[in-house]
Amino acid sequence: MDWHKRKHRKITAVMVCICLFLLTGCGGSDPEKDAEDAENGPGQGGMGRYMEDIYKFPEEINRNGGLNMLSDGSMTIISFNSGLYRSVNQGADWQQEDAPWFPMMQGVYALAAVMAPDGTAAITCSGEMPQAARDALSSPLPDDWEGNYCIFAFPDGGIKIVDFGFSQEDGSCISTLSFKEDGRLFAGDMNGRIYEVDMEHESVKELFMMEREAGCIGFCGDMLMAVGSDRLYLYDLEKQQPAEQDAAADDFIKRLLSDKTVRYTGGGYPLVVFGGEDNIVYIACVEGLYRHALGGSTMEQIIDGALSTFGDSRSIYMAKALDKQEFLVQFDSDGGLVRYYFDETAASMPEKEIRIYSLEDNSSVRQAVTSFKKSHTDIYVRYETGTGSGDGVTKEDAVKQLNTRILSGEGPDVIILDGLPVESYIGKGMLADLSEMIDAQEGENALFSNLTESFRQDDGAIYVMPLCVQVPLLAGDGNVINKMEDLESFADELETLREENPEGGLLGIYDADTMLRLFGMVSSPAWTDGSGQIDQEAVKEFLTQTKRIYEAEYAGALPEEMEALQKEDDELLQYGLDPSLQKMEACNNVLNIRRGYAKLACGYVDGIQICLDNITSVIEVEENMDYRNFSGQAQYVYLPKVMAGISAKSGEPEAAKEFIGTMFSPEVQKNIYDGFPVNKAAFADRFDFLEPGGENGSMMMINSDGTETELELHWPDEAGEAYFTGLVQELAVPAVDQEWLGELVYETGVKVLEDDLSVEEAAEEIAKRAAIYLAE
Amino acid sequence: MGSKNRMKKKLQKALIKTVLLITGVLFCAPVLFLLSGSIMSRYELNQSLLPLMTGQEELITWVFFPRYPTFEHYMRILFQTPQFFVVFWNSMKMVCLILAGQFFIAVPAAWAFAVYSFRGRKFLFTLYIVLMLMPFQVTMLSSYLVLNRLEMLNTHGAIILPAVFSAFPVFLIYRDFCNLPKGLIEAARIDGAREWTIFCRIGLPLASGGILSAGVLGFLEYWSLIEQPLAFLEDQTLWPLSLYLPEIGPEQAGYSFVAAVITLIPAVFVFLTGREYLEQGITASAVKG
Amino acid sequence: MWKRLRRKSPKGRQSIWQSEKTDGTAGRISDEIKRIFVLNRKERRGSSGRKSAVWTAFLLPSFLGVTVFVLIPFLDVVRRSFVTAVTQEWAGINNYRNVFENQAFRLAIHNTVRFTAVCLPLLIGLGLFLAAFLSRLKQIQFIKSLYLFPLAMPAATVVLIWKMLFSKQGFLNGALILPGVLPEGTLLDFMGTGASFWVLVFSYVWKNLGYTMVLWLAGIFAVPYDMSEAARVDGASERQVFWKVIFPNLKSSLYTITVLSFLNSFKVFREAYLVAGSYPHEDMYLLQHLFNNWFVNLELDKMAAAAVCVGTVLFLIILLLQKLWKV
Repeated sequence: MDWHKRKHRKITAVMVCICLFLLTGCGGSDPEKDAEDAENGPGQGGMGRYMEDIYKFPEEINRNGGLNMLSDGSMTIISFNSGLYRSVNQGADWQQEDAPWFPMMQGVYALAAVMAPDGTAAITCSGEMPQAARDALSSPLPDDWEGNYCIFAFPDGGIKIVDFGFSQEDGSCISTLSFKEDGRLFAGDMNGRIYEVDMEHESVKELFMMEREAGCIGFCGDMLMAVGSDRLYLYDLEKQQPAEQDAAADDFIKRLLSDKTVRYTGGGYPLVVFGGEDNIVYIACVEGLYRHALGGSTMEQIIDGALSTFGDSRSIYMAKALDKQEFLVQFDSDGGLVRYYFDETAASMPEKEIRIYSLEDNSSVRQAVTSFKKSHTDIYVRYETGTGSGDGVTKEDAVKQLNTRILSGEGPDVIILDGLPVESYIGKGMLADLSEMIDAQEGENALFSNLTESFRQDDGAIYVMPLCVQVPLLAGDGNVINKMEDLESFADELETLREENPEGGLLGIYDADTMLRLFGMVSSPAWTDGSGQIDQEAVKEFLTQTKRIYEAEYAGALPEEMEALQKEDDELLQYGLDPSLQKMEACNNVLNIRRGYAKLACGYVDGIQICLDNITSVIEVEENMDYRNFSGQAQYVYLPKVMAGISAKSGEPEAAKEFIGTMFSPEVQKNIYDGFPVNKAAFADRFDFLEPGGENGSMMMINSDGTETELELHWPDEAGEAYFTGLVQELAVPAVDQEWLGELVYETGVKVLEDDLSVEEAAEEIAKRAAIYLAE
Repeated sequence: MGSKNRMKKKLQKALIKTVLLITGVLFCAPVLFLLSGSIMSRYELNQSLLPLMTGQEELITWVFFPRYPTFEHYMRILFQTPQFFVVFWNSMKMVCLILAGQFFIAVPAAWAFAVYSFRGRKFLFTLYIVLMLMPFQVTMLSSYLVLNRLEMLNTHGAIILPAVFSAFPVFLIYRDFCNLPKGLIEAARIDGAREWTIFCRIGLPLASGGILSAGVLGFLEYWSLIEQPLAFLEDQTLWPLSLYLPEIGPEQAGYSFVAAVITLIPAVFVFLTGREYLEQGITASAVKG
Repeated sequence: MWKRLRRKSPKGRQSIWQSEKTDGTAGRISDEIKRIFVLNRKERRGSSGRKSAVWTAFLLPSFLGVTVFVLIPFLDVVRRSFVTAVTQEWAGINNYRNVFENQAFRLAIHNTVRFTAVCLPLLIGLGLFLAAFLSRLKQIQFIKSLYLFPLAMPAATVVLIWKMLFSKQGFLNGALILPGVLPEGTLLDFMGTGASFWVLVFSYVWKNLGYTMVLWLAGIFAVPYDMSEAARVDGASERQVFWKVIFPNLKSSLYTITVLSFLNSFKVFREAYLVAGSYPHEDMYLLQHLFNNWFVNLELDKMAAAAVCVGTVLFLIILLLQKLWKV
């Protein structure tokens, strides 16, 4: 090798090394995470923990401007909908009070409403000024004036209505208000500017500008703090200039807000910053409550999100420090008001721990976790999910991980089996018997017995129980659907229907794969016999009948209808939605009947709101329409969701059983939206959301030819409720996802439907390929 | 007459060279795909790969020189994703520690197998090889239990230690040591040298090629380790780069291309620099003494 | 310092070393060495037996580590092959019986053996072929680098490339339609047909060709130039030079390359798995797919039994190879 070349080589090598090093140095490691991880987690030992006292608001307060501490020791909240509320006992009870300024904000869109310690109220609204406000104007405004105005109400009774000249159009509308303890008022507009408001002189002075709308404004000593998207803005009010950035706070905020896996809902803020004593700043967020000395380098976690409501709610309305170790936090509207106080006698970590596992993050389970934590403060609940932030990790890898952990004794106590190989788990004795607990559920805890029975094994044990169910339904002309008892009769009737209606869509489904999945949804239980072997005849039958259905559909399909529907699908794709998933739901398909694209609709329903009521509403309007359960090769099929089981190797079987009990309790079941609750009381409660037969808005659908179809939605009435309940009580066969077989059948089925393969050949191929699976 | 022959030979050589060159470039085509994909804007990527994502019946297209090259993906990864660096340095740390460990453990072991004949040598060595060949799934659970007992789970040690004791470098370096002239060793012994000195002064230098080649191959292997970290590391902050490559879906395509390119760089770098040693080392091992 | 020559001595097998040391002590040492080598084999072994304690020092750390991290888990696997999966009750040789009768196992073994039998010779042969040609050229560094690139590619990328090439929408379809090999309009999903086996083979060869070729090249270059030059002078064509002179000396390279390639044939699994999932086309279904699926479905007993079987077979094969090659 040439010496020269070698030298060159070595130099290049060193240069590249340096470059890489520098580049990566830019990113740097995350000191925050390290510090936090050091504080976080069990093993803190010792005594003392923050306990929660939960105060429920009266319902009307929910949309409000935040908690205000008054100098007389009381607290007030200004509700956008119902005015002023006061509490004199630290938030436990609230009484409504009359406020002379309330009529001036009624009916308008209020953006913020705060009160100073001395009782001065400041409110900002946007829209048409109500008469009461106009009357209080010092100088009249034109009649058609619309815009952003502020209401200032002073303790002496004086009220000022001020139009600062901001409006919503250019974004300078004032959207945030905050009083400092000394009575000074600060505001933020939608463009990110922060102002100090001079109420006396009705003027604003701009202090600085953020890169986007301020989340909340807090104060610490003489500092004004505002949360940006990746930093904490600090403004020194004494020196009247922006203060130095606090690196630790910035890093923390940046990390928290850039975590895309967490979604913030509920109308509050993901992060609330408020001041404490001296130079202390508190940050309240989903990970808990953190304490930080301005200018210091650590974020001390004093309340762990995982152990408190912080972790369960996705946003925080506001938070305030009542005392050094007492805080008041308002979470999103459902969370209510929570008072945190430090209890030295409580163990700093709960002694017991149970682990819940599901393959994918599930909101129903989270609900259950929240509920359980509140009623069992001595148990630490850890909720783990299998698939992380989307890596080169497949589902099977996650299952292997889970299996490894379970078999080595480190597994979860409660397992949600959606997506896991349920039969294998039951067959290998990995799950504990739940039948005792389930059979004991009665009274308001009672579950639908047909559903529990459907999961009972031959030996009387129940290993798995779904939290909710999705119900396949079939809607269409009453005479027609009455005869559709199974797949074959479906095909028969459809062909007859086609003869009677030579043109036009029947089901409105033109995609082979979607059609197979729709019918597979209610036929797959029939494809395997009791011992797990494939029933080749059943599969052949499935393919034969679906082919008939497909051909009947295409026989008279109108190209313009097909095109129009295809266009809508493409649009959905653009939005990142999967059109084939949409078509599995009856509520979407039934709209096609209304629009004239179809005569029948099938699919599953998982709720009433914009789901079942779609169907019932369409039935009301169209002639002769009715709906019934959708049967394929299996009758009275339903789709179980969020199937829960207890690991046989659980270390805390009692706690696990209690958790499952919580999951099936009416409180938790009421809040599950993956399907219909299996708890009878919660199920009935679902129907009480709106008045029977009440109006539920209306829908406007645009057709291919540009015309619009309207559908008025009505909530099901008592008869409707009874009918559906009766239907649910007849469900008998759970369609547990057997992915391997399903995918195989659908893949091959598409070829059959599209005439690339005969039914015989397809059935053979399926049997052959499934042979491997079954042979294992 | 002679010149015609020479011409023919030259032509032959040129032909061979061209063919090999072309095949070589084809071989590297995927790398070109990666590079061009990493500077494509999201829009163009979607355009090209859409049929693949949506399963439609169309052929995908690919432009090697994107119309609107952009470095936005690089920016995103290098400057806006702190996790990336954590993962990158995890990989670096693990691989470097593994290679260092292998050096101290495997090289002496190979020396022992090669130079000394003791009872059961063949058996033990074959055992080493067979254990090396076992697929990971088989021993995954058992390894997990062992690591659990040793309380090494969820630490980098769970990956590093088993890899340090891998039989692969032992095998490679064994060949090298086998081909050392035995006479040298005997001579040194007669001269009164201690075994350790023989090992350090004679063995190591002469087999340095083999050792380095084992290092290069080892680097390449452990840099793209997937199964073990997945099974033994629960904490995602400990994950290596190889697990971080996100699945290449429509939104993430550009991002994952760049991540792949960056994953490639150290590997390529290592084998480019180590290449000479690779050949040198195998030279020694390939020739029977 | 030492120059080494090899000559076939009259006795046929033994080699005699000659040495030339620059400082003149050559003579004495070479005599010593000659003496040592002519010594009886037994005596030689005896002399190194004195050093028996030392080798343990060299081997011990590795041995301990291997025992803890590799051997013990494997012994646990052996144990599991005799008990049931989860409940761990004694099952005797039931698991072994199950495994032998298991269709999936048979298929997997069949495919794996088929794959190995096809791939190894292909790779080794192709590598040799390329190396032979390459050896005649000068300035081959660049070309060598090109071929070594595939080794550095991460699996996820390889998967994407596969998809881009071999799926229904992939380039291979396009490449075949253009010259008319495939009729216009038909798109084949290569991964879903019997061709998937060849996709696997292709991927394996693509990844490993580089360094196989490098290994062969090294072996070829190690053959002293004089020998091939002598043959050429004698009038042999390039091909004859290769086959008669160079090839016989490549035995050791062959052994190394075979074992390495065999080891790497197992690594094909990850890519196959990422592309075609757990239940790929029949022809692609390898032993590792089976193990993977067994693990997911908690059939640990069968997995353990199969592993022990495979391990034993491998052990015997390698012992055999060692005997044949006299390594």
